[in-house]
Amino acid sequence: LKSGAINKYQNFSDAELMERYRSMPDPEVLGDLYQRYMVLVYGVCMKYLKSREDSQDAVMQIYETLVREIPRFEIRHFKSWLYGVTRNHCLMKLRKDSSGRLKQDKISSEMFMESTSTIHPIEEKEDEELQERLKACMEQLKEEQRRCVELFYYHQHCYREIAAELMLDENKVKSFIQNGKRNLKICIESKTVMKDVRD
Amino acid sequence: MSGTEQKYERIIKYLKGLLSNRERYDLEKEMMQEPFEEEAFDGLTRISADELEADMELLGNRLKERIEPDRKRSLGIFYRIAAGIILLAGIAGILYLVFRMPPRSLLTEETGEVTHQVPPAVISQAVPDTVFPEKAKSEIEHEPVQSPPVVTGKSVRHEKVSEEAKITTTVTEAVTAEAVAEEHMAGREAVEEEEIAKREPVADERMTEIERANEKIREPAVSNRKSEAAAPSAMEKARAVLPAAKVVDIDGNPLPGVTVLEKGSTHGTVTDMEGMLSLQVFDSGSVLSLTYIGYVPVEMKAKDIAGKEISMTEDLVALEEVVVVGYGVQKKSDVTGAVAMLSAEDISPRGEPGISSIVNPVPPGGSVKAFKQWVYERLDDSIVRAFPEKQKILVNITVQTDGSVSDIRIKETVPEPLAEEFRRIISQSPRWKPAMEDNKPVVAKVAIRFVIGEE
Repeated sequence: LKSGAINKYQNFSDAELMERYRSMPDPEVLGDLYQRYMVLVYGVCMKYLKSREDSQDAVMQIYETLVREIPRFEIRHFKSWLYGVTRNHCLMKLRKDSSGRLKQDKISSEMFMESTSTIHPIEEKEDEELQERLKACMEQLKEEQRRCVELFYYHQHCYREIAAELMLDENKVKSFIQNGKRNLKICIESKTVMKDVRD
Repeated sequence: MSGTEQKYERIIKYLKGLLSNRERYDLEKEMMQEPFEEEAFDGLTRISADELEADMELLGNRLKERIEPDRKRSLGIFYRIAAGIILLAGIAGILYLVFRMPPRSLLTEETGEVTHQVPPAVISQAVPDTVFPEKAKSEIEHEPVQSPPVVTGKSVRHEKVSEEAKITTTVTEAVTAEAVAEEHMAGREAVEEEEIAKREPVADERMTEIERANEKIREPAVSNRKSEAAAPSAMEKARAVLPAAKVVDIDGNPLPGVTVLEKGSTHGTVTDMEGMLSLQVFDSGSVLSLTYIGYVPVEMKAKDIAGKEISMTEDLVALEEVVVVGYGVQKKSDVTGAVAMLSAEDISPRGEPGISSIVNPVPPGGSVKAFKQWVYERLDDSIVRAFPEKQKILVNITVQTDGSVSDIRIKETVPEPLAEEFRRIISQSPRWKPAMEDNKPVVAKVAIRFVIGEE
């Protein structure tokens, strides 16, 4: 992403670069494409592997995976495919690493974080019925989760502000919001199912 | 794409705390939209902006290195062959020069000035009865030249001074030279003395403080003692004592054993049990670095540290697994062969005591075997015979600090009459030698297993 050199292919889209690489596998093209997402890849690796050195190695290994796998697959959306590759790589590494077993146990709960790719109910405003259910579910949340979610979504405070207001650690705030969101979703979905059954 | 570039800049600013609360919120919300970014954001906020920048630069370079060889392979081979030829030619040239050069020429270079002044015949005459090269030179110089002694003296002095310049610690050599000179140049003591006087300042300039102290020690005993007393006081003057400071963690608990180093030197100390540190430094402006495993290192000027409470924050990033080998520390990925690995998790639960010495209690009779024998001898036969089956009897006792035995416990599975008999005998046990920890008697628990029944 920031290598000092001016990126030759700045004005090309991901899809264009993929096309170009497929027709003529120039490593510079792939390198350029990869650099766009290297920070994200590194971030995900840091989340799972929790070590700077391991994460750096993983970023390089994932690049090798790309070189190997790209010619074999029809990739429609590079970014989401890369996310899959990155996650898989990290999970495989944790599984393979015997010493990683402890780490893996520790983060296994975080690992099945809800997918936010679809818009979360809390962000949908139109559906009144949904809002109704949302309200009911918010009441069911644990106190800390509810307050964090409220402050973030309704008052639009950043983690740091919430942390100061509730006298909590910033990381805790983040996980309260994440878990609160997950619980909300589960709650709303179960209510929807119940309603469907009633209908 | 400038979009990702921008996002990176914003993350860096976020980590540096340069964004307003609103901007922070915007970024946090934005990073939630996609799971990829959300997870990445989770990971990236574990490290500092500086670390992230350094890591990304490193990764950028690693990626570049990975890409370059693919592109330049064809060109590389040409360059490699060219470089090989040039290298070979160079080596050949050096070898040619070395073998062509006669060893004689090296010799004449060493003796330098002397051979220029004197015909070769004189050298061969002089060499047999000389031991020191110094002696040879002085002889060679005055025999043929026949000039007034002062002139010769000058040339000798000149040589010696230049020698001083080359080697600073030539005190003993100079003395030898003096002795030789005195033997062969009787009557020119005045010149010699003048020479020594002149040489002294030159030496003084070149010798370090310590070397001067060494020279003083060679002087008579009285001044020796004086110089010894003088040396530490001079050192104290140079080192300012830093007022004690306290090192604590985020919660204010003292951190013992924090390494404190004066930057750029090996001069340092560690904090004591109360987290206190005091260190003598040359210069109150020098930088002290505080390091502690699992904490973010701190660097501060000595004068800023003095008298303060310094708090160190925990490093959120997990400890690296390091493989310790006999000759250094390597990354795990660089090690080949079988190695034992201990991760942070493996080590931490084992709360082994430190270096305190622990001695187990010693039973009367000097050994557990003797003690068992003592018990067996006292067992009431009539009771034992009632249980012909093989019985294992595990007895737990507590040995008090005065050596008395108390709290005798026997497993419930042992038939009560037997247990009662063991309890009776063991309670009559003579005093034990109590367990010792750091040379102080302590209470200890001991388990002994007795077996009765078929032998």
